[in-house]
Amino acid sequence: MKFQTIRYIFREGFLYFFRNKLMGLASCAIITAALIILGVFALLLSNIDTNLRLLGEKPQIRIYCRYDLDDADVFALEDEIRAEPGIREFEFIAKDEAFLRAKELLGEDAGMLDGLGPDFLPVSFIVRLDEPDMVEAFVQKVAAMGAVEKVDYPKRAIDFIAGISGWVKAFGFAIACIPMLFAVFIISNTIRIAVFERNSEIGIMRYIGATEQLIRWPFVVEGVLIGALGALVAYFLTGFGYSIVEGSFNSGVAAISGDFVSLAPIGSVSAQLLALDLLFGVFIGAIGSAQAIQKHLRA
Amino acid sequence: MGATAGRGRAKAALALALGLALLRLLRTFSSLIDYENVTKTYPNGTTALNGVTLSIAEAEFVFVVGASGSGKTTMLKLLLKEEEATGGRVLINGLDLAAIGHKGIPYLRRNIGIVFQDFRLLKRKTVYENVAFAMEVVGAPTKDIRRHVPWALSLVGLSKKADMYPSELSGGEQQRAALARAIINNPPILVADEPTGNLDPDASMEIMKLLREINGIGATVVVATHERHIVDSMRMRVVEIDAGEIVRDQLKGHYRNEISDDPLYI
Ligand SMILES: Nc1ncnc2c1ncn2[C@@H]1O[C@H](COP(=O)(O)OP(=O)(O)OP(=O)(O)O)[C@@H](O)[C@H]1O
Ligand SMILES: [Mg+2]
Repeated sequence: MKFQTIRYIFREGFLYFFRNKLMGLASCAIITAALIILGVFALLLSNIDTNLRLLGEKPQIRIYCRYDLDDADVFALEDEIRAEPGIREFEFIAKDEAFLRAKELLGEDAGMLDGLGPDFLPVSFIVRLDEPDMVEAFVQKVAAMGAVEKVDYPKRAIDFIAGISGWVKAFGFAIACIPMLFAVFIISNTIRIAVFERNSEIGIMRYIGATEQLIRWPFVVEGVLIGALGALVAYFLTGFGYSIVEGSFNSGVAAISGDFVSLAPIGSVSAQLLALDLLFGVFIGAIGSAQAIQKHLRA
Repeated sequence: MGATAGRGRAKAALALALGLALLRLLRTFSSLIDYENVTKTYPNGTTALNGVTLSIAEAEFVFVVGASGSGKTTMLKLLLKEEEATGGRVLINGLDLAAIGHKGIPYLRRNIGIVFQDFRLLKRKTVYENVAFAMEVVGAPTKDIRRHVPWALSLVGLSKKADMYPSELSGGEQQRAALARAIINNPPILVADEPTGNLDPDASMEIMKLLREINGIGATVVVATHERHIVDSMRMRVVEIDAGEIVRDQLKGHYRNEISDDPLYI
């Protein structure tokens, strides 16, 4: 396509967009609503995913050895556990180290430990696995080992998140798709009305030898502009809402749960959110308008 | 016997010479637009054209006349490939329009300037922009647009109204703007369907004179009209159709088939 043609298409597209304010704004609002729903689901999914991955990376499984093991038994147990598949990291925590950690944890109250030596604490291992969904099987197997006193892991949180993750992933996108389809329909109708209003103009264009491309593209540009504007509004609203929710969640739920579950700060997700909104906004706008004008040109 | 054979050979030679001369004549007067036994039946069963055969040479000026509903507009629509002939062929420069696909129509129309009774200017563009638009549509470079549009506007006498909107112009001025738009890309053919249908007599005469001027620069012009007085005063070729059939084709003709000394145009 020639440069003049492209410039023409954009100039006319912008003209159409500004000429059609009311319908354009109405469609923008619909797109905004659809994208907010999409954005909320996307943020939810992304946070569930991040939290699961973080849990997978946290020192989540702690294996306490029985008190009566000697060093040889401990090493034998270590070898046995290390032989399990899917272990990312394996950390040995000796009695001394466990004692130091306990002191550190207690802080000002470390005095409680005065007179006690490291011997009252058991030897333990901290294990991180590659995949969070391997945790359950791994824990069962290790707990059954004779030399193991006890296995600690954040069972509830993992179960909860894994549970809603599956559900949200399955239905979230389907539910987010409905408003998107609705938005495509609305934009398509808006452009159809715009096309109808410009029926005589299109007729004139055809008589003076305009190609279908040249007739179609300004409408697509108009649709894309509507989509992009709707996307920007959705981005700001979703981002603003999320930063509020994130703030109160992280100072409430996250603090109580010991940072077990936390929402990603808005700064770390805003770029993806913007990209998602723009991508879908532009896509909805382009599809909706192309479809409307296609129907008209064929008629 | 020998004499008969000789006479036969002489006849054959004469026939050949005549044939060659005729062919040469045909080539010099070779037509730009050809309707060959064209029939048009609309989907609802109305037959608008019935066996129309007509040749229009390059740089000719033709009035198409006939009662309302006789098929004038249909004839012009076939030329623009807005409608398809249901029988026969329509050719431009020897090219059968049936061979032009859907994608080719815009390119066909870039060779045909069009003027309508209702002007069909873009309401939201100025006169200048309306004319420039026809160049933009064909992807002309901006510097050509800046040069050609003022030329076309001065040709139709609208230089001073270049920045006005169609609603600010008289009917005659609007039609002149439409004419400027129709010729801006130098089309070899100009088609006008009742271009003066909405104009008073003076404005009508002016538009017709402009059409004739454009024809003088080399464009082939076909005008469907009901303007009896103008047709009678201009004395150009007149093709009359009645109920879809050509009933008269006259050089320097009149609107009505008045008794005249003009030779019939074959
Ligand atoms: N799209 C159409 N569908 C069906 N019939 C049509 C269509 N267009 C024209 N006709 C018919 O074809 C015939 C010729 O119409 P056409 O428009 O060519 O006439 P015309 O000579 O231009 O008339 P006028 O002088 O009133 O403009 C008429 O009987 C008309 O009713
Ligand atoms: Mg007509």
